[in-house]
Amino acid sequence: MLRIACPYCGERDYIEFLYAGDAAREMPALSDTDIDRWTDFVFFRDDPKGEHAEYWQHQHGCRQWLKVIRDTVTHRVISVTPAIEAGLQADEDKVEVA
Amino acid sequence: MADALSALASVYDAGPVGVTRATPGVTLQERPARNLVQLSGWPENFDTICDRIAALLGIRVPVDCLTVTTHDDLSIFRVGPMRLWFVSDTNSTRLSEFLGTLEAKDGVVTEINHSRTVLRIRGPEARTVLNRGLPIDLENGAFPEHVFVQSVIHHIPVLVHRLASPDDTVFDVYVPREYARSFWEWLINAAEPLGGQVLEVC
Ligand SMILES: [Zn+2]
Repeated sequence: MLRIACPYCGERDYIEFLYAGDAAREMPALSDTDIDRWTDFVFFRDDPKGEHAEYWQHQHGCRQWLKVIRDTVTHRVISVTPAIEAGLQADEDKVEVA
Repeated sequence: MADALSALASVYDAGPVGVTRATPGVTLQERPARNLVQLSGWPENFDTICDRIAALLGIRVPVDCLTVTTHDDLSIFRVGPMRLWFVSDTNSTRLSEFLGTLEAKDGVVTEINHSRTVLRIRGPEARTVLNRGLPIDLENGAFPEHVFVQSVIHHIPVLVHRLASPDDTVFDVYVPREYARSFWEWLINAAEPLGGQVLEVC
């Protein structure tokens, strides 16, 4: 049984949540015209054994979007962050790189 | 004004349910006359709005999505980090006055009282009945009075609120109106083996 600790509501059963896909992939810039990069982004997913970053929505709870790190072998949930914070952090990281 | 019609009108039958006991294990009752307003705020000024609520309504906005704060018959549920429900049995003038002061930049106000069916579930077996479908620990330590959760029963999203009561266990369950019939059917089935009583709509 998968249990996810929502930062707002506490630890809950997975049936309250909606799985919303791979959180590791990065969208190409809208000005990017490279067909391979777009094909890769739209159609292809890694299938890692072990830690995986994914989006979940607490659909029947606070309705917030969450970024969850889950072990695909054991189903252990390693971390849960509000997606809005994870997104801001990613933006900051990008600025630092630039 | 036209009266709202209960979603359960055609199936609601006051009387005993399932096995007979000296006192019913659980009583079930629809509570139609609620006022329910949702306020969705914006990240820039939500804290300021919470301060205004405290000042104008005399109710502190809960810091978490678990505790209900109440003053007179007006309660606030924080159903999301920046989303509040105001619930009262009567038309609260203070609430309408406060909502009247809000502008678009302060948040979005939606009246949702017709969108929910509210059921009061009470008695020694109330927890057992709910836990036949609700994946939440309802014991005193985990789920004390004045606490609520949003979860799911029978694939139906519900908000379950534990009310204060010195001598028994009382929950109000908010069910989306479009699923109220289905939820009611589930509830009656869950109550049958424990001995229930459907009370007249209050
Ligand atoms: Zn949540």
